[in-house]
Amino acid sequence: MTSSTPPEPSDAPVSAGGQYSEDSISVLEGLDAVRKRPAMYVGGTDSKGMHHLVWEVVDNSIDEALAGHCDEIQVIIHADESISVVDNGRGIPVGAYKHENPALNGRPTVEIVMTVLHAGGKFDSNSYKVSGGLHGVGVSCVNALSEWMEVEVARDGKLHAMSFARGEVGEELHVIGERAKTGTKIAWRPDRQIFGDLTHAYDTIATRLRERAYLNPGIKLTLSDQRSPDAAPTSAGKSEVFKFDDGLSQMVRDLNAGRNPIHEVISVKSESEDGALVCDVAMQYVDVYHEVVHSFANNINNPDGGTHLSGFKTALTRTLNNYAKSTGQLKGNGPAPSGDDWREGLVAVVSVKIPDPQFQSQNKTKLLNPEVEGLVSQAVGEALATWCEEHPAEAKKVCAKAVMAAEAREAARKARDLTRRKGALDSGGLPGKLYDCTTKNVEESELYLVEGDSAGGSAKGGRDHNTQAILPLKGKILNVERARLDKILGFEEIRAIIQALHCGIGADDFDISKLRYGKIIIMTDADVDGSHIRTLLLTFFFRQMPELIKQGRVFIAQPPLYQVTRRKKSEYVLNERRMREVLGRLGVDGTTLVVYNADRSEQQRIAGDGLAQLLSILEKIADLVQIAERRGIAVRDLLDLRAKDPNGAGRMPRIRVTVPPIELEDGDTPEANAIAGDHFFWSEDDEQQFQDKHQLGAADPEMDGVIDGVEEDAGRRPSIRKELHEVRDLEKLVVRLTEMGLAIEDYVLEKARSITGLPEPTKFELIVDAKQAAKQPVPAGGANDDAPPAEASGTVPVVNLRDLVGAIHDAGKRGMDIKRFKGLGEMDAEQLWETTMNPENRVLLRVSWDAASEAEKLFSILMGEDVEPRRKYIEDHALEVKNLDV
Amino acid sequence: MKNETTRPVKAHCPICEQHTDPNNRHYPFCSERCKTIDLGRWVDEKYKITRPIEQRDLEEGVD
Repeated sequence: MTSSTPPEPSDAPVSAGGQYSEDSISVLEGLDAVRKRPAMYVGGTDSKGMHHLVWEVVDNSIDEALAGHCDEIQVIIHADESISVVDNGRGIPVGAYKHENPALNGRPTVEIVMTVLHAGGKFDSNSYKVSGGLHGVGVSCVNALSEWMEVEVARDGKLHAMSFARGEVGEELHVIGERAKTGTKIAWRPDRQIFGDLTHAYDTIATRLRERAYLNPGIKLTLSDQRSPDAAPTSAGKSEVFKFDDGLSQMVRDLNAGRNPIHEVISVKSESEDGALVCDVAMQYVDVYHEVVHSFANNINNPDGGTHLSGFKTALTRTLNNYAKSTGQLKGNGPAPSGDDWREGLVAVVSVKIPDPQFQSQNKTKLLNPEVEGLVSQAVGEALATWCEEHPAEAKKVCAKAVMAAEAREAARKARDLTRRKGALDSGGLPGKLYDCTTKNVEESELYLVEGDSAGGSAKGGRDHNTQAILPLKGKILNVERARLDKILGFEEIRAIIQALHCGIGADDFDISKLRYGKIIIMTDADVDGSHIRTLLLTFFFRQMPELIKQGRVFIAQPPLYQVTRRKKSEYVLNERRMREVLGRLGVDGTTLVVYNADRSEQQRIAGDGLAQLLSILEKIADLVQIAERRGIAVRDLLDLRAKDPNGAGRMPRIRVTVPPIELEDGDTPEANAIAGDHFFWSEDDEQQFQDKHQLGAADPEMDGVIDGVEEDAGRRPSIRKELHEVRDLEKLVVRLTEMGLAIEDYVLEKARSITGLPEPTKFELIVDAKQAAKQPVPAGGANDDAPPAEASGTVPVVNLRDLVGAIHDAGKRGMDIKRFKGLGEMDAEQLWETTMNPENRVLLRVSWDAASEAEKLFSILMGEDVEPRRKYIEDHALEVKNLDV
Repeated sequence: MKNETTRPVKAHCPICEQHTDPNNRHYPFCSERCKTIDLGRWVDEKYKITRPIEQRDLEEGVD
């Protein structure tokens, strides 16, 4: 026997309740069968069975500790694969035992304990109120399965020793020395005849001891491995001490190491009125999605739970549901969190200690004692309710987490239904509304997602059957009560898209290699609804099938906005900008601008390239003027301000400072508002002088929008400063205008009338080529219904240069039939094919990752009930939105 | 004025609003879970874009 230093025996007095003495031991059964059928007693002759011997002995020491007589247990794995377990408990009784069986009567109690099955103090609840072990077989079983076993007992001032071999007494009990303190040491070598050459696993034993230390705070458990590095390469010489005064709370903290807890560990401790039942719970939510809940009864792990676990779960679900309801955190139409949802991200340990544990099966996987459920449930319920009241912020997070868990659970179910629902696999799993193409070559095939059934019909009629598939998507939904049109991608639409693409959706199912089409082409009307459907589709792809966008498989079809017919020749024009180009080109052709002097003599004529150049300049000026006007500055004012240029150079101002009027208070003179209004400056110096003179603090609204916490210019009156960047470009264009012999003042000439009220002749006239226009009568209805009908030929009076652009465009419209397509449905199958679907003519926009990301952002703003952020976005992005609608 | 260095563009999960970035496997979401919740919302037709009804809608009727 290898010697080892036992822990210092304690002087703990024997509990007043019951004497742990010879009378406490009852004998239930003989020992003979154990060696014949070891599996019945320790579960098997495998490694697990061999370690069971360790648990049996250690748990006996733990029981001694639970009874309050021991606080230190030492386990050593020796070089010969023997184990020694030493505790500083009371020591196994050594006195003569009174037994009905004459063969046993009078033998030392320790011998009875070691050699008789089911002999042990734990069957008498006077000695052990709570017994962890209760393995039902006792240490005698370990003895029976050991080559040798040696027992030393320090008790009654003496150190006693006894030894066994395969369960048979070897050395009789004898005194080997004096010992003031008490304790027990049991050492054994598992029998090679039973377990062969199996070795002990340090980590397995360490895990078990650590768990025991968590469950029994205050007890110090030591494990040492004295084997050679050859025998135990990873643990030779290793030694660890397990002692956790914080018990289960520490266990939960350690289980959550490296995770993000959303609150401090909640600890619940309670016992029944008579003190017989003890309940100990620790719990903490972390930001993960699975649950970890361990349950123990008398230190035995119950993987299948039982009454203590169900009591805990019931209380958790009920208490948190009540709290969430009473604090209004379960509003909305989402699913209510289930018990599973409340346990998502929960790490908890439930431990009960009871005098008479009942388990469902031999291996104790489930606790049955009904009285435990109520105790645990009540203790946890009360503690949790109190915690919620005292930690509202953390409780809110817990509730939000469960609500999200419930939604995720529902969503996952719906996602499965989406692709796996019965019927989904009919006819090759393709949606009924799909007009599929015939080719099996994915790369050459295209899926058109078409807005509206009628456009879908045209697309079906016009398409290339071989490579182009059509999936019509339903249009809008009217929501009369709110006087709003809701645009959604309906359930059937989404299902049809997923089925048609055939690449599945969601974590488990998405597989891009199963995609049925090489290109996915979104074809929507050129109106607001169309842009909304497109935004929804792009957002859906970006969020749920981003691979499609990453691979560049998503496209936007570009149906033309106009059909222009002239001299029986028809052409399609993509958008407004192209239309202006076309009209400008045609309008300049054969047209002459005549400029008159005040005395009606001709100043000059401009035609051909000169007129085209002038048109280009005027179009650019129109853009800049539009910007200025959006800022509330009329072009005429801008021109008039040139006279005030402090340098006398006739420049336009560069900076505007707006001083808002203030509410006059007592003591203010009316002059205080004399400076309210717009002020213009030609240089920053002048501006600064003005600001200083009137004690103004200039704010730049654009900058304030980005930078938080701009320091207020204390005491200064606020004003709004704006740099007029468009002015520089405008002045350059004015120069070019002057080079053509024209003045910017003519841009804003007003229609003059004579004293008779008849209009005076205008400064400008357009002479439109009669030959061209006469060939075809003017068609009814142009692109712009507001425009006066263009005359067949002759001259058109033009008041100012601003109107000249429109006049030239009107000239371009002569003899032309312009049709604006309001929707795809207005095109017949042939037109749709020619303009939008025929790969030889069509223009497709490939959706880039950034563009899809933008669409998703736009969607985030456009969706939802909040109208204000929407309106603001549309105002802020007026130009972009305009383009979106084109 | 605050003296701030340029920060990397922050992206937020559309569902839980936690920080995420384009290197995340589940981008624009933070997690598989949020992506699933999003899918559930599409399926539930919770995503809509609204605009005021215009005269022409009433004239054309509803398709």
